[in-house]
Amino acid sequence: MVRTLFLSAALMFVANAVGAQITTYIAPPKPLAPSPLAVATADSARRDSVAQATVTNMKAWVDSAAGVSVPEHVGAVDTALTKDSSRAVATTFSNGSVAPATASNLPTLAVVGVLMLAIGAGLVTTRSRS
Amino acid sequence: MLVRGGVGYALFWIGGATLTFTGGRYATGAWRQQEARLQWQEAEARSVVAFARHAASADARASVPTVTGAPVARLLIPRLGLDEIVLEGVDDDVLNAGPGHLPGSALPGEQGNAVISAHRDRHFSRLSDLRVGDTVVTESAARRARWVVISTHVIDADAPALFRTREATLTLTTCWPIRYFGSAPNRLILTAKPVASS
Repeated sequence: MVRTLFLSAALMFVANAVGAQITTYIAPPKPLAPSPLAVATADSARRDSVAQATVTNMKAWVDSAAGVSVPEHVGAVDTALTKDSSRAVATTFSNGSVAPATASNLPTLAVVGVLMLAIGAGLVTTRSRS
Repeated sequence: MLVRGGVGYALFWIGGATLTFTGGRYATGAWRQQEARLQWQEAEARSVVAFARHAASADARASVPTVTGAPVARLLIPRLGLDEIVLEGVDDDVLNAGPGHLPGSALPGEQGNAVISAHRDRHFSRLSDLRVGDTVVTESAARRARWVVISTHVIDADAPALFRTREATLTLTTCWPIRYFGSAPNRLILTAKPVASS
C-alpha cells in the first residue's frame, strides 16, 4: 500500500520534470511553391553563368548586352583579314601601308647549314675512328 | 654504327647544300648589284652627254626606268660608308641585289614620300647606327638631294608605317632586330628631310 502511494507520488514529480523537457512537436511549414518571378531570376542567373564560360569575344558581348548593334564576326576573323590585306599592299606604296617585307631567311639558313655540316662531319669522323 | 654513318652523311650533304644555296644567293645578289652599278654609271654618262649637247630637259630627267629591278637611284650614307644603287621594286630578287625603291612612292628628291627598303643582313645591316641629325645623300634622275635624319623608330611589322607627305621625304626601312634568328618581327623606320638639292 505504502509502496503504491510512493510510486504514484514519484510519478507525479517525474512527470512534471519530464514535461518541462519535452515540448510539443511542431511540424515545419511546408515549402511554398516558388513564385514565377523567383523561377525566372534563378534561370537567368544560371544562363549568365553558362554564357560567361563560353563567351570569347568580350567586346561584342558587352556591346550586345548594352544594346549596341554590332556586326557579326567582329573579332579575330576581321583582324586576320586586315592583317592579310595590309600585307598584300606592302609591295606598292599606299597611304598607311605597312613597311615592305624585308625579312630574309638566308642568315638562318646559313647558320642551320653550318650546324648540319658540322654535326654530320662529326658523326662521320667518329664513326670512321671507331 | 651504320645508321650513325648514314645520318652523318645525310646531315653533311644537306648542310652543304643549304650553305651552297645561301652562298649562291649572296653571290647572285652581289653580282646583280655590280651590274646595276654599271648600268647606273652608263645612265649617268648618257645624262652628262645630254647636258653637254644642251639636250637635257625636264622630260629627259623624268625618264627614269620603272621596270622592276632597274636602277633608279643611288644612296650614299657617309656615316656608314654605304654607297648602293637602289633598284625598282621590293620583291625577294630585288632586295637580294640591293636596296629597293617601293613602287608607287616618290623618287628621292621629288615631292612626296620616297621609300627605300633593304635587308638587315646585307645593305642595311648597319642602319641602326644612323642617328638623328646624320646626313644621307641620294641621286636620282640627275637630281642630287641631301637629307638629314629627323626620326628613327621601331614598329610592329604589321603596323601602318608609310604615309603620303606633301613635302619631299625620305623613308628608309629594314627589319628589326638587326641581329635576330629567324624572321624579324619588327621594322626599323628612319625618316629624313631634305636640306639641299641640286
